[in-house]
Amino acid sequence: MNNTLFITETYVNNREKENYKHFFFVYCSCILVVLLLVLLSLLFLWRLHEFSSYDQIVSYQIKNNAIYGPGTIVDYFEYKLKIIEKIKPKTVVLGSSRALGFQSAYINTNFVNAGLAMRSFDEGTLFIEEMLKHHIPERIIITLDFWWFNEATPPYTPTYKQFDKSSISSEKILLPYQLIAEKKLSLNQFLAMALFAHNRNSLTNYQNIGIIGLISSNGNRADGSMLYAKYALEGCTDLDPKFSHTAEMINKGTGNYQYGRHIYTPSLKKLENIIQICNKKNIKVYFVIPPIAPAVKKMMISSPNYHYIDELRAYLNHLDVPVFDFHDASKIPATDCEFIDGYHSGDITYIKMLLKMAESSKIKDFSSIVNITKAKETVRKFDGNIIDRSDSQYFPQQLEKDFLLLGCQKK
Amino acid sequence: MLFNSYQFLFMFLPAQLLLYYSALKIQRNSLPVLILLVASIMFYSFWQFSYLYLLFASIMWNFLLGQSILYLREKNKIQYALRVLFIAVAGNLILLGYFKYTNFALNNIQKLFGIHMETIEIVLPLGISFYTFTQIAYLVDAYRDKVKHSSLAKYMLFVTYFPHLIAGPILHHKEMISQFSWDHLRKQEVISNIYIGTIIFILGLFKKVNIADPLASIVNAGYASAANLSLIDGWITSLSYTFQLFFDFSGYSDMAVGLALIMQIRLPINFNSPYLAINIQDFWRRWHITLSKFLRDYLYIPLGGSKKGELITLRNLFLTFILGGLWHGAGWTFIIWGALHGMALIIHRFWSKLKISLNKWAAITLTFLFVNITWVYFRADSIKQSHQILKSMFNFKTIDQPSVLLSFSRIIEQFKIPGQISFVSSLEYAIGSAIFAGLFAVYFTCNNVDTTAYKIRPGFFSGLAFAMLTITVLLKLNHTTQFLYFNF
Repeated sequence: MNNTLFITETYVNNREKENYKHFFFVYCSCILVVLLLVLLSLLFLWRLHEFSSYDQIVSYQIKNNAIYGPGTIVDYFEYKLKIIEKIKPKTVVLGSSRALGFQSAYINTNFVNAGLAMRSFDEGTLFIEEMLKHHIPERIIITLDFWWFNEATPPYTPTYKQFDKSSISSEKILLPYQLIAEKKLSLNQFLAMALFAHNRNSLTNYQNIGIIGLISSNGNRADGSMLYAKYALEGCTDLDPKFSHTAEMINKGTGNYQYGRHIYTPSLKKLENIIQICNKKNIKVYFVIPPIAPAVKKMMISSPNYHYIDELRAYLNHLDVPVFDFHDASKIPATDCEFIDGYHSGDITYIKMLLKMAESSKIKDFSSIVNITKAKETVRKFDGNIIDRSDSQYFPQQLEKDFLLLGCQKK
Repeated sequence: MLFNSYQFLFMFLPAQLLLYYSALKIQRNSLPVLILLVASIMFYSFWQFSYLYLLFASIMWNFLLGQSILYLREKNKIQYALRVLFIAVAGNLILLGYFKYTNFALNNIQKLFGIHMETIEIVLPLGISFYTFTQIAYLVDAYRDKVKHSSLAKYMLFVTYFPHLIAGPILHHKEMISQFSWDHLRKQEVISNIYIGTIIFILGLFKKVNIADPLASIVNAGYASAANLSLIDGWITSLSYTFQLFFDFSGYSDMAVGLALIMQIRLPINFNSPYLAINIQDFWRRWHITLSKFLRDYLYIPLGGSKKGELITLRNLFLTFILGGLWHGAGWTFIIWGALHGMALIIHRFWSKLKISLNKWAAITLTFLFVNITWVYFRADSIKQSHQILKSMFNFKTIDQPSVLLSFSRIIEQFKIPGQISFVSSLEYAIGSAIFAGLFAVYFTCNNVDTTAYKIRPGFFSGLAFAMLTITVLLKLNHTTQFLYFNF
């Protein structure tokens, strides 16, 4: 080959060598500083299990009774399946985020809360089918959200296995620094975690994994249930102060408060399908309609646009399957102060719901499954609160915050 | 593992350089070669471990037959050497043909004869076009007595050398083997080469990450809506691809050259401001230089070149470029692209005889427009799609329709850094990045990275500037895409 172009050869004197050394010193120093920041961030994220598999996360949680509050996207479907695979529960609660209040501390059998693994009927059906490949529980308690039965509700597309949790990306690497800049994470907390794996905070005595878990212990317990520490203990008021965001949605008919006159019958077919799947495997299935805040119920009653909910409750209460209708919180009884937002209630309300279910004649053996003594004691101590602080070793703080700005008197 | 990935930049490359320079310090002749060889095999394995056997088989086939050719030549058995050459080249072409053209052939037989033929699921081994051509050149040079015997290790390194393995440049045995020796390495101005190599690598990386990849979003959107483009968007689509391909491929070549120079090895330059070509012949002396030299030396000249009369010369030109097009991909669009360039070269041959000279900038513009139009075929998924794009480019009825592709938000989205750091808002950073990338693109369309690298004086400020440049690239690394020429 003739006339191939190549890089010119150069000849370097000592002065030029000094210039090269200056270049590389400055260049490498800058890159090393950036690398150090990147490494610190990676170490921080790695120690918080932000790159770990759900298998590793669940094992850590079970071993250390840790709270998992991730700062990155979570595949709750896979996460809750992993908990079930590890614990092999006799009792499973399944549903959306409104299922997350049930805790194992009040259930006498092995128990897993698979809330957030069923955000639609399709996702719930898929979850049950996947679960049955690994484990068959004795009973499943499914919480039903009223908007699943409304044709106007925007469809939810499951995201099972659609992202790689372990991938390293610049978004993840920059996340801790972004939180520090926004003053959501302190520099001390960041360095303590990165360098010394110090994973506790001032709100609770739990070990925490995941960035949000580290900051505020807001996340999933080892049994899959949810601890809403960010709101009840930290006092974050941006969620739904005085149920104003909920009111806006009801007024406009948006979000999960879309208007509807009648039940969407395809949803009923999907519900029946779930019952059949469970019956084939001799799994007892119970349905629970979680409560909405009394103030929110008043708003909805005064609107003529939610007739489908009344139809739904009437339909469900005539099913062959035991249904516990707690839509009206006053029947539990639960006040607005026990709610986190318009339709998520706190731990105490869920304990009360368990007591009601145990007292009911709808299920013969349920009273033996619920730890009634402990449940009654907790309700007595913390009635009107959000969080169950019966295990006092984890809760140094005395009072909950009135984060809904309702003037609630907390214990 | 791409050059523009965290794994390569922070794990593979530092480890490999550390071992390599440690070996150089020990001053053992064979150790640096072995380290580079192992690193190159590992690099390929990260891509496609399952096809490593094919790479090794190809290397052994060509090395053994190449050594046979050299032996037969030494014994003056030219006819036997020629037969071995034919067998060896045929083996390479069969391999390439099977993996690259089987389904293309089956599809066309099906269409031509109406016979239903099942396509076979064939995964194209990475870099097969490049390492096949590299070794064919070695075999032919062995027959022409232009290469000497070398060890298997050096030959393997010559073929697998990781900076060039996946997407060129196409190397020559004679130019490379001599560089894999302690004698060559100890004569190098190490620090100067590392400096120039680093500059070239960073500039090449910037070209790929901050210019080629942002353009990709416009190109993909344009081709996805090929049937409905306005005149402006037709031109935006074609021009965006023209520059995307240039910055992507030349960026990769720069990175390959830079990486090799950091290791004291010189690879040939592959681009020389091709969009400043004054005619189509000049273009092919500036674009993918190693490929056009290969086509000239191993296809055009063996066919007879320009020495067997005018008609044969024209035939040879046309055929060379048809095959050159086919080399790029198994598709009629590539053949049409090659044919258009072949015809352009024929026309240029006649034009040159008229001895009419155009104004330099008119010549550059005309050449650029031709190249831009032919790239439409190169990029299109089908002939139909390419005609849709071309039709939109000359559909003057839509001249008053504004652009849908070139929106502020689309451009800015490509330059945003993830998240919202309070001291640098995403939008300000993105606008600044976009402007800088635009200026950078204009400069490097008209100038080469390697010559620019020599103009940058090493020191405190250049160190700081290149550190900033590197950091802006690192921030965008996980959003980048594979190199376009990997498809070939």
